[in-house]
Order: sequence, then structure tokens, then C-alpha cells
Amino acid sequence: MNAVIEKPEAMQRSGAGLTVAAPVRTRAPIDRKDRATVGEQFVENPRMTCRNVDVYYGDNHAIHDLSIDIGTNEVIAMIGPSGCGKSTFIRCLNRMNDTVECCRVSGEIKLEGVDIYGREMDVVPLRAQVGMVFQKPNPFPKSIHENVAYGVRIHGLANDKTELDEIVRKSFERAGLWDEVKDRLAQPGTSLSGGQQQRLCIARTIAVDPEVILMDEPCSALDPIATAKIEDLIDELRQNFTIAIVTHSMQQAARVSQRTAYFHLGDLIEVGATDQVFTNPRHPLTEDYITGRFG
Amino acid sequence: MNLDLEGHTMRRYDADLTHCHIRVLELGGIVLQQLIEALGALHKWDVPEARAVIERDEGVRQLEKAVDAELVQVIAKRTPVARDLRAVIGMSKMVADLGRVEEKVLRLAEFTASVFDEETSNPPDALLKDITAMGRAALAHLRQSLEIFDRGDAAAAEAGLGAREEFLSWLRSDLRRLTTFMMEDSRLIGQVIGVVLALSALERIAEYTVNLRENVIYQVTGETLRSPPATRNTVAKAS
Repeated sequence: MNAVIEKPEAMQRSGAGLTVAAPVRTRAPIDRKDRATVGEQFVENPRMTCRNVDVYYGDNHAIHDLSIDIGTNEVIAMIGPSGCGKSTFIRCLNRMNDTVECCRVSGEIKLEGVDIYGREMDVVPLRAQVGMVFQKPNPFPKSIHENVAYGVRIHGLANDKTELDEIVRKSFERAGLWDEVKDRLAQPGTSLSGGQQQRLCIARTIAVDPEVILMDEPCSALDPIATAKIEDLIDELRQNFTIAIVTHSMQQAARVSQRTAYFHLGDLIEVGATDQVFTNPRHPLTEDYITGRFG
Repeated sequence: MNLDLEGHTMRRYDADLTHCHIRVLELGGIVLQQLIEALGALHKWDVPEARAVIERDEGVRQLEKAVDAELVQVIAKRTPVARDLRAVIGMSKMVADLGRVEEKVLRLAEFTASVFDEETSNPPDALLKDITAMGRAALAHLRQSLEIFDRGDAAAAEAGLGAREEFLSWLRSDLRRLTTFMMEDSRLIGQVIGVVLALSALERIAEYTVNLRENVIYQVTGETLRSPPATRNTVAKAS
């Protein structure tokens, strides 16, 4: 920075004789070979383990040899610039990428020790175990009650209507939405505000009692107050669920997560405790991104 | 410099951080100049110059407050992280340390104004020579620390961390020497106490400049150095 620093006028006036430093250096680009993951990829109590995961969209190698654990009852934030592979990665965790025709996933991804890409794995219960909340709230074109009851019913989690209603009520309570919707359960889900719709989607996800909740930029379409409510909710849900969240908001990652993973051009660059990543990142690429020097 | 504050996508952020860096240097430069003039006044027995140092203190305080407010603004507007956060926090601590240096400079100027402005005889040169020597060393240390901050040179900062203990042991040694004056001539007790307070102020200045260096290390490496608690009962040890 001193390339542009003039000796401060006051110091010149003072004649205190401080010397001005040399011009700033610039950092050379970092090759792929220097982009091996740094930090703590693995944890003692993993809920999901990913080893040597590669993802291709046709010829495009979207994720390169990624290995990481997702710990039990932790919130792990995935950050990185657009196109770095973070959303692709979390979509692998409940096989959402199966719906993309040209997508190919290799490597090993296990949930509680079970290979989710194994031949015997049924993706319908898998997606209940590993639920997902998307960027835009996407309530079903049904009533508020039915939005949550639908999944419970098709997964056969309630024996009768009383039990179903109880699960619906508890899900709304856990999503912090019960007081706002209890008198309007028959109204369409789309009649709720954006923030309420997103919490409805979270209630719908937790109603089927998942182990892991994936969130792909869940607050990017919400105002600061709705965002704050979702962030508060994430913190509460952590007691019972494991949460992997993709976010473009660095402050959100810093606020809600215990671990942060930084992706860059399909490589997992750094994983570490959020406190450490945001105060003293180990990799220069991580530092450039989180400080706003990327690009 | 190693601590690169530029290169943000948002260029205004570069300007904000660079501005803060320059303002801290400006404050440092003025405090340094105050120290130079306070020591000069003592050396030349120049009471008006010592009073001028005291009068300028208010301006330094205003600048300290202003720089502090600018750093708070950067935190509020930019929510800095990683090295930017360390840079801002480091600068904030430096502003506080420079404010403390200024307090001690004021102590020196007040000593000069009181000891040479009374009707009593001036203290003998032998009594003041410790202040001159320690003052020069503290001045050089402060100047180097500010230059190291400007360069963001953690290695150079680390090389000067030992100054804390050096100044402390220097003070102890001076106290032992000064005790002999009091034993020889009890009429000098009042003046010796003044000299001891001035020496103690210089030792504190050295301590705060070591803090500046520790902050540079924190800014560059993220390593927080917790200073070992220096022994404070110096008078007891000296006796």
C-alpha cells in the first residue's frame, strides 16, 4: 500500500524522521498443485464422510478429489465464489445430482457409515434422511398444513390423523412458525411472506425427521429480519440435526457455522473452525476471498 | 510492506484502510515529535518549550479520538475479516498505546516545567544524565516501532521485543544509583523523586512501544503475544 502513501503531512511537519516503506508486493497466481486442502477435513464424530469425491458434468470436471467429514450436530458452511462447486457438492450429499443427466459422481460418500451411492440405496428415504432447503422458498401449491403433512404421510411416519397433526404442530414449533400459522393452517402456503415460506420449507424438511439438513443459500431471497430468524433457527436446529449450508454471505457463515469450508474452482481449499478461518485463514486463496480481494 | 491493505474488489475499502493506516502514522509522528520536544526541553532546561508540549496535548487527544472514531467507522461499514480485521484491531490498540505514550510525555514535560521553574536550585547534571540516556533510547525505540508498523515487518518487530526487560533493568539500575544521591544529601530527595518519576515514564514509553511491535506481529501473523507481566515493584527491588 505504501506505493501510494505520501509521508503524512503531520510527520513531515514534525520532522520526526520516519522513513516511508517500500512499494507493495503482489502475489503470483496459485497453481492447482498448490491448492491441496489445508485445515481439519476430518472430525472425530462424523455423520457423513466423503472421500476422494470427483464430480463431472459431461466433460466438465466440477469437483476435484474432495475429502471431508461433516460432523454430528455441527453447522458447516460452504463458501466460495460462484461456480466453485459448493452447491454441486451439497447436492451430492442427498443424490440430488442424480436428476442431472450428464452428472457423474465418483468416490465415496457415506451417511452413518452407509454408502449413499451403493446399489441398495433407495434415494427416496435418503432424501428424507438428508433434507434440503433451497435458495428460493418453494412451498407446494397446497395448504400450509398440507405442505408439512405431505412428506410425513408419504413416508408413513404417522399412524393416524392425531399423530399427523401432532408432528405437523411440532415441526412448525421447531421452525418457529407455529404462532404465526396456527390460525391459518388451511390457507395456501404461498399466502405466507417470503421469510415465513422459507421457514415453512424448513418445517417441511424437519417433519420427516432427517439426520442432515442441506441449505443452499437459504436466506439470499430474504430481508434482514427474516434472515435473522432463519439464522436463529439454524442455531436451535443444530441441537438435533447436522446442517450443511451454502452461503454467499461471509458474515452469515461466520455467525451460524462452527466449521467453514472454502471452495475454489472445484477444489476444496481450506476447512477449519469458523473462528480461525475468519480471523486467520491458512490459505492465501481463502484470505483473498473472505477479505473481498478475489477476482 | 508485508501487510497489504489494498487489492479489494471494492476500492473504497482500500482507501478506508489506507487512510486509517496513515492516520495512525500521523498520530504516531506527532506523539514522537512531542517526545522529542519534551526531551529537548529537559535537556536545554527550556521551560517555555516544556509548556508548549503540555499545551499541544489537547490537540493530540483530539486526534487520538478522531482516529479511533475512523477505525470504528471502518468496522461498522466494512465488517473486516482475516488480515483486514487484524489490521484494524491492531491499529485500534496502537492508538490506545500511542495515547498512553502521550500521557507519559506529558509527565516528562510537567517534570521539566516544575523542576526548572521553581526558585530552588536546578538539579545537578549527574542527576539528569540517566533521563537523557534513557530518553534517547526510548525515542529511538518509538521511531523504529512506528517504521516497523508502516512496513508491516513482523521479523523486525520481533527483534525488539526484548526492550521491555532491558528498560526495566535499566530503570532498576538507575534507581540504585539515584538512591546514593539521596543518602549523601537529603536536600536532593525532592528532585530525585522527580527524576525517578521521569525515568519511570520513559520505561513505560518503552513498554508501550513494545506493545506496538506486538501489534504488528499480530497484524501480520495473527499471533497474539501476551507480554509476560514485568515486575512492577521496581522501587522495592532497587532498594
